[in-house]
Amino acid sequence: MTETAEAIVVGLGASGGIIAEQLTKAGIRVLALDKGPVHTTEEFTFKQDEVKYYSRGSLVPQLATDPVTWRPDDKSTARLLPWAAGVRGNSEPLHLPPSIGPGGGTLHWGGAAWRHRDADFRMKTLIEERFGPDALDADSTMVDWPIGYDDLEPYYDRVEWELGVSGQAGNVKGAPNPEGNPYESPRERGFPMPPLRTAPADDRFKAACQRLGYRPFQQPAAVASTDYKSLKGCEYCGFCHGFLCHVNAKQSSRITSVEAALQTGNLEIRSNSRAFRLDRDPSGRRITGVSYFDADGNVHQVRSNLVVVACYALENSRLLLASGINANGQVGRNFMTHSFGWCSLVLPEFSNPFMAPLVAASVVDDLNCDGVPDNDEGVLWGSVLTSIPGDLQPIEAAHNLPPGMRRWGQGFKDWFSENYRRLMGIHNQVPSFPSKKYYCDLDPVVKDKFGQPALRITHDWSAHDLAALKYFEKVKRSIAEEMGATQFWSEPTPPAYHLSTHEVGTHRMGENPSDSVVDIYGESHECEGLYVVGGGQFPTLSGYNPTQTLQALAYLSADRILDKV
Amino acid sequence: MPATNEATKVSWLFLTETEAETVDAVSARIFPSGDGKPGARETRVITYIDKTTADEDEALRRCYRDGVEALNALTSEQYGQRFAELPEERQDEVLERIEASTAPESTRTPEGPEDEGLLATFFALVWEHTIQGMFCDPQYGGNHEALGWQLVGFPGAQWGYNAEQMRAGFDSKTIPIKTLEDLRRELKRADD
Repeated sequence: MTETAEAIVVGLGASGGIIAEQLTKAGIRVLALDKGPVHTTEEFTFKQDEVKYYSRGSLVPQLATDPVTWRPDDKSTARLLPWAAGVRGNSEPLHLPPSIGPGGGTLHWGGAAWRHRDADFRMKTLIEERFGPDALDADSTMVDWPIGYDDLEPYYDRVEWELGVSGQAGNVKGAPNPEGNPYESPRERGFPMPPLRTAPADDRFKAACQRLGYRPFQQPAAVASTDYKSLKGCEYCGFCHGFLCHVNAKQSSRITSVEAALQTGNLEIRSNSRAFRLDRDPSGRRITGVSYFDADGNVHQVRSNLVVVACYALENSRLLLASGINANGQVGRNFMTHSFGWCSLVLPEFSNPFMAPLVAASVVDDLNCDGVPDNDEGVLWGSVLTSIPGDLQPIEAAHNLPPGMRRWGQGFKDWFSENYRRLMGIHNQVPSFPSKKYYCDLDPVVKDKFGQPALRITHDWSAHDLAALKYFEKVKRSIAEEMGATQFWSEPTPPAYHLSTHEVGTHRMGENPSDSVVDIYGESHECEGLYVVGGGQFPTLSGYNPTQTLQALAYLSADRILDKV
Repeated sequence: MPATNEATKVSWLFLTETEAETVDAVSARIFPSGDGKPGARETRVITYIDKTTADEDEALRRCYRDGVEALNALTSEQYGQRFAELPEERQDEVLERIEASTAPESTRTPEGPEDEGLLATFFALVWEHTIQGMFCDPQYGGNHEALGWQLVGFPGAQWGYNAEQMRAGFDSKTIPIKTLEDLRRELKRADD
């Protein structure tokens, strides 16, 4: 007899955790399938282990079990992600899909907790108003969002207060506070926790930025500065981004929403359970359940007329395509990601970069969104610019050395022993624009060990991406000089990777069923009762990190589902 | 076959004596010793690599096996000696040529990862593992007595840092280094 569930949630990450919590609290019995293992808090007591979490990427899906292929254009043959494949291993787990198991991407994340600005929802309109109707490429598929900042404000508020975010508000109901972000769109209230203590070199960054006329403020962080609900105050151990928290200071759905859902008694989690098909009725217009493999590869089928697919922009689109749910051909289109402009500095005094979370840092937001000044490079849209003074262990640091320096021998040993304690980073992230040229589909050849087709990514860095990297590199260099850095260098351009854990857009939301995949609540246009949620819904990527916006969207989806049942 | 240094006089989990000798010699050129400060030999990088090859998959083992063979074949042909027997300056020259992918065509494998030559892949792998063996937690077999962490001023596995320690310019070498074993012991003591 086929098993039946009241609701199925596939993937218990940032979005799936929130929706599972809201549904179970309303009395709905939820079956959650997650392809990763259940991580216990005990497992992370001794997480101060760079080999396990960085070098061996033990939280993230590996290419051997979860193949993903990439090619720069549709004339090329895709191959397993070349920046992560091979005997040397990934070396940088953050250029693979995000961590798996209950908690999902909020297991490994750094906790940058951004609301979008009002402008982010109207990127296309603002770019065309400012630079003319031909400013975007002919291949552009950019659209404005079908919702605006005001629609999401109450849901951003819920993320901050229900899950926990620390920070200093810059604009409460229109009243500016110079300690906070001068550019943030108005919020109904401030943060539930004050900002974190910043990492050692951050003061130097902030002072230099102020001298240059910028208005730096502290990064809002999904890391608790004090005990708050299920979170404990941060201990500043420095093993944060890519690691798990040993005191539960970092907000993760594993300890917030998933834990709350479990406490209702209405959530059953099946870990190591890999959904491979979304089942529909004969008309194809109604969801009827999910088929999955258990850890041993046995096939199971669970029936349900409410299915929430929340396993990241990439796997969401792969699952839709593998299930044949793509009548209008829009699934997998509009792939977007961030190029990271990592820059490194050597400072004249000890920066001790191994302390504090990644987000215990200041931010310059003067050049983000439509605030990017007129420029010769042709940059149409800006980016947040962040100090990275902490959370850097020695193995990772050795992977980011000044170009041209020999990476071995006495000179390398001298340089690294002398300078590891003086390192610091400055970072920005250029949002790629949606284009007909950049998309995901099913790889025609590569399959996983269960015979399921791998996702194939077709993406290259555009002229605009490279122009923006160049523009921001100049800005960062000027800040580094003002800081008195003795050395400054940037990661190679164009970036070798095409995944940043900030992939979005692949199941775009919109009001028109012919040119989008889901509605603003994440419900499939094609298949009733099927919700496909997460960053894949985004019509455009912002210069900010995407997580808090997809968390806000998850609350919106949950409200809608509860209205309808 | 004579062992060339102390590190190879133990029994290995996976590596043969020749493989250990060769890989040890390569890693010692990445983090050399002889300046009075710990290098790959003092931190026992080779022990880390032996454990890693024993634990990891066949593709990795094959890269070590084939890489050592190809490296020694190259140096035997050109200099009549195994890599580990060459003087350090000559070893550096060989590695520089490999890094610049100037290794002879005959040592390339057509379907090697990322289309690199076998020796270039091998050297890149030894580099990765040397960095890991220098700075891993000592429980992995490398970073012996936390010498790698001492070298760079990294305090290792800490529960956290206080505001005083987080002042800019603070000398982190004044913070006692801890390993995961130390943390386990502290927690056990607290439980007792």
